[in-house]
Amino acid sequence: MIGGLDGVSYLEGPALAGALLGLGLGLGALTGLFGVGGGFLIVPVLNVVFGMDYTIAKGSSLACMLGTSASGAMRHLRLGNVAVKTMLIIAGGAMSGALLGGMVNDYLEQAVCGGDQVRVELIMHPMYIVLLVVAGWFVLRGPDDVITHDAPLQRLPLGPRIRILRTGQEGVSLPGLVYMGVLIGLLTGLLGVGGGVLMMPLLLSGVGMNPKQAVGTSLGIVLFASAAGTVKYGLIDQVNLAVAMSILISSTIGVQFGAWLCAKLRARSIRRYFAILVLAVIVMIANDLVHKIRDYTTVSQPPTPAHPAQ
Amino acid sequence: MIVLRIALLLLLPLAWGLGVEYLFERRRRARRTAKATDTSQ
Repeated sequence: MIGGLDGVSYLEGPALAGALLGLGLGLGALTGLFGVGGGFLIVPVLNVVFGMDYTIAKGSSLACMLGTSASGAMRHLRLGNVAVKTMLIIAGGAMSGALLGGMVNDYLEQAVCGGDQVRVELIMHPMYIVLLVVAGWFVLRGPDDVITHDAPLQRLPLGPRIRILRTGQEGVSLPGLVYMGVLIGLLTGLLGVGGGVLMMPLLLSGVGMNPKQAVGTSLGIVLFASAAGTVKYGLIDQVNLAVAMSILISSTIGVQFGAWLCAKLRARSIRRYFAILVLAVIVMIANDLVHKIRDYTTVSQPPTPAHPAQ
Repeated sequence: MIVLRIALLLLLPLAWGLGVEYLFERRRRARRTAKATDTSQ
């Protein structure tokens, strides 16, 4: 793990610390307003705006998610909103997936890109754009109606089947739950996101949980997945604690502002603002991607001779 | 080696899930038995 802020960004000292605190405030406001962890926004912002390497941005984002999800999960556990058995089953898959995702990330960085950060960005930027489009679509679509028929994981013809104690659902496919966790964990390890923004709709529509249970259970899963991801990135010295702590501390203040704002706004306008924000980040990444492609093709082309051979 | 590691990472969570289900089910049965014994006495 790296402790200081030196050399992680083109910004230095107090300017970097101030910018990170500001980012944390904004992130906290998002969490309070939209109920998302914001890993899918913070990693590309750390890379594009702060000029941080993707791996450090991912590792630090995961360490930050670990803090936010721990406090959230504990609160929901006390409120009885966590389906503990289901959470533990999915979390096993998510931890495994996070390690697999970390391995895929290592492979992409070392074997495919040879450690060249520009090439890493050329691969990662499109992945974040796809992730943001999917996340934006899920949030814009809004909560589903309560499922009256069997949920997809109850219909999945793959046993053994379990009963979800807290919601009283029978015949939910155990491998379905486990590999749903692996899928979300893959995103956690590969992209450094908590995965809550995708886990929530999966728990609501895929498993058929009610919204309160889905929020609490999802936070518990994110806690385990981000812990596995933080360890994976920490082992290769790619977790910057100073970055993670700056964002984490200021985001706890931002959450209060976001929650206050949430009470003032209507649900529909909140979703619209979220879509605008996601769109702005997509444009930012796409713009950076276009510049990187242009620079990369210009550099990799052989120089044309000034006087062509006769 | 890498294939083995991936296979392990895909199979381990399934075993974990089965273990969690077994433990929770055992605890639930034990509770139910204890409750039934209490009411019969």
